[in-house]
Amino acid sequence: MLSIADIVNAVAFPFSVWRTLHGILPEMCDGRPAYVAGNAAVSFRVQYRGERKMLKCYIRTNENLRAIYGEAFRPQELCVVDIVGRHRWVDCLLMDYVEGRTLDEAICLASTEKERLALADSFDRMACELLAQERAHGDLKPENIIVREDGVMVAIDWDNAYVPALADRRSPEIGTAAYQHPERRAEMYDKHVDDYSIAFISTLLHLMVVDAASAEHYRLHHEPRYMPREFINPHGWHTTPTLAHILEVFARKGMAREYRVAQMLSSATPYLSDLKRVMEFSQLPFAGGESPSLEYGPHGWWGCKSGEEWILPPLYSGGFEPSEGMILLELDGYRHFVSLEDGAVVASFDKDSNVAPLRDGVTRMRMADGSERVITREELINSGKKSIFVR
Amino acid sequence: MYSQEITRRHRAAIVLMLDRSASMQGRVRFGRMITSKAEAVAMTANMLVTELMDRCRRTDALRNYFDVAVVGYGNDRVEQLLSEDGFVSVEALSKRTPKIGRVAFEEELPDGTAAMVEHGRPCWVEAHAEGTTPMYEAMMQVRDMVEQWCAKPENRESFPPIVINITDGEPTDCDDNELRDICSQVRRIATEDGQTLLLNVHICTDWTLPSVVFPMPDELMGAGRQARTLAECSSVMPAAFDDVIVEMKGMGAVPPFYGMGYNASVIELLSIINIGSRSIMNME
Repeated sequence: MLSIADIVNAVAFPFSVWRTLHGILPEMCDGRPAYVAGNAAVSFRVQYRGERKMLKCYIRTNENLRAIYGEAFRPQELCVVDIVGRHRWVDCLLMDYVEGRTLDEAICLASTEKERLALADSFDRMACELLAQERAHGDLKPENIIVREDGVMVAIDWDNAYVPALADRRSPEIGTAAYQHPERRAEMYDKHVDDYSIAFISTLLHLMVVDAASAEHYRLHHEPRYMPREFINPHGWHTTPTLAHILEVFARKGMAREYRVAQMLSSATPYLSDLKRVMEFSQLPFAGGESPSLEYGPHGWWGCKSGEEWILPPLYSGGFEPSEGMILLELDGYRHFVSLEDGAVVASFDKDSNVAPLRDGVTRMRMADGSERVITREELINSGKKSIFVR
Repeated sequence: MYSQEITRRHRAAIVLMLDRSASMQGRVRFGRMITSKAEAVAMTANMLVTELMDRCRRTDALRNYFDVAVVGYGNDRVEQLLSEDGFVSVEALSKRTPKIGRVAFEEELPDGTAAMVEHGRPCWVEAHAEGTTPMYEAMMQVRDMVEQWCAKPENRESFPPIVINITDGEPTDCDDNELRDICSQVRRIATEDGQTLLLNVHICTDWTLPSVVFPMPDELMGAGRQARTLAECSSVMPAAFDDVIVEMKGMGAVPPFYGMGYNASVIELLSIINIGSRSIMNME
């Protein structure tokens, strides 16, 4: 096993022997090549044929790299001489350098709700693209995701990826524990290996939008406030207290898709068969339509349809027929008026509030003492989506 | 067991124990160089400390994954060589500016050309060789350090401490039974992820003598008293290490393996340290 210092020396050494990458030049920092280390490799920013590239030199052998990276993988590329004079040929990877900061850094720097929401939405877009592919990353975590300047996220470090050419093999590693299902095993090596980490990271990011304590925890510790094992009840079907807390947060805000994704985190297996369908709901642009109606969807959940198109995804636990440009939907006991103009939650009500749909510009909420409170449409709209009716 | 990932909240502890007695002045081959055992062992320690720091270098900064201690023993003294407090974090080490030691040698490269290859390494500890071998006293200090480390709530779930003791001889402050006893006390200290791993490496100047590295019980049957005592003082390597040890020893090696080396060359010492300190530890 070579040391990192041996490899850094070799990359810096102008007379090092490269099999194909002659003329490669590392970018220097304080007289040494600038590098970062991982478990299996050391990465350098280099100049090669006039372009900025990322050079990765492997400390550990990984037989899957050729299948994963194709021609970018350069086996036995660099000759490294260690301190006792032994020669070793090191496998390398030369890739385009992705400019930006890691999602880990971006989370820590995102100080406003708006910035955190932008990260969550951007991650969901990347996740939907990943779920649509035949390959999987294998170790998704904020440090392996680059947020480009335009906000687009790009997954990097695919060393543990699954590609169809590797079918029937075992995963070389099982990913970073903080982002993986506790039951993930090396035998689970197919296009679904990212399911759980996608659901977990998406939940983590959306939770940080609405729960400042979660964002602060990540900023301080560079790790999620909750661990996957806190979501899984090994003794039965009851929701764990941690998951119940998160579901409650999402239900109060009417965040139906986030609620359904978070629910999947209690899965007994790492495979989440419904994840792709639910995640894709976040990517549908809201388009109001003619004669919207409350409809029953798969899994017994409710949404709003116009013709054959879902304009609000069937992710709610109940609801009422639309009226006067709004629909009253229920999520885990919380009722929310949702605008049929833009699909946004207009106003939210406390759990088990007995509130009725709009009729003639007002809604009526029956109070615990039997009295009735009348709320006008304007009052709902002016609530500023701040759930003023939640106690 | 022995599976905890190393994170900033689940750090790992590594202790190197260096024999600094007079016998360490003996000469030994270190790659292309002939040097003293003390110098070779100090270079090995410096390489390990530097490697641990290098492994912590991430895109944002150096991450505080390890607490490291280097304990020297010789001439009736036991000394902490990195910090008086015993353990020091890699983050604290990174703020120091150690002297850079340089080793240069002419190397024939695979394409047939010759080049002067220079290795510059930070010197965290200096070589020293003098007097007696108070290994028992050193083990007692390490036991106390490791016990305190494991007792901290933040380390309760961590990968267990790894202690690597490098010597060229026998202790002068205890007999075999006392040595076995104190080593057993060190090995019993545990986190929730497993017991402390104690690896003992006996290095040798005479490369004509057969070495025993990560021996199987069969290999120790014909071994001398000192080698057997060293085995009894060492951890039986957990199953998590089996694959890397088999890869090093070759086909036919069958666990269990003792965490020790006897009559080991410096190259074998490096291999043992690599396997003991780097092979199975996964960092976030």
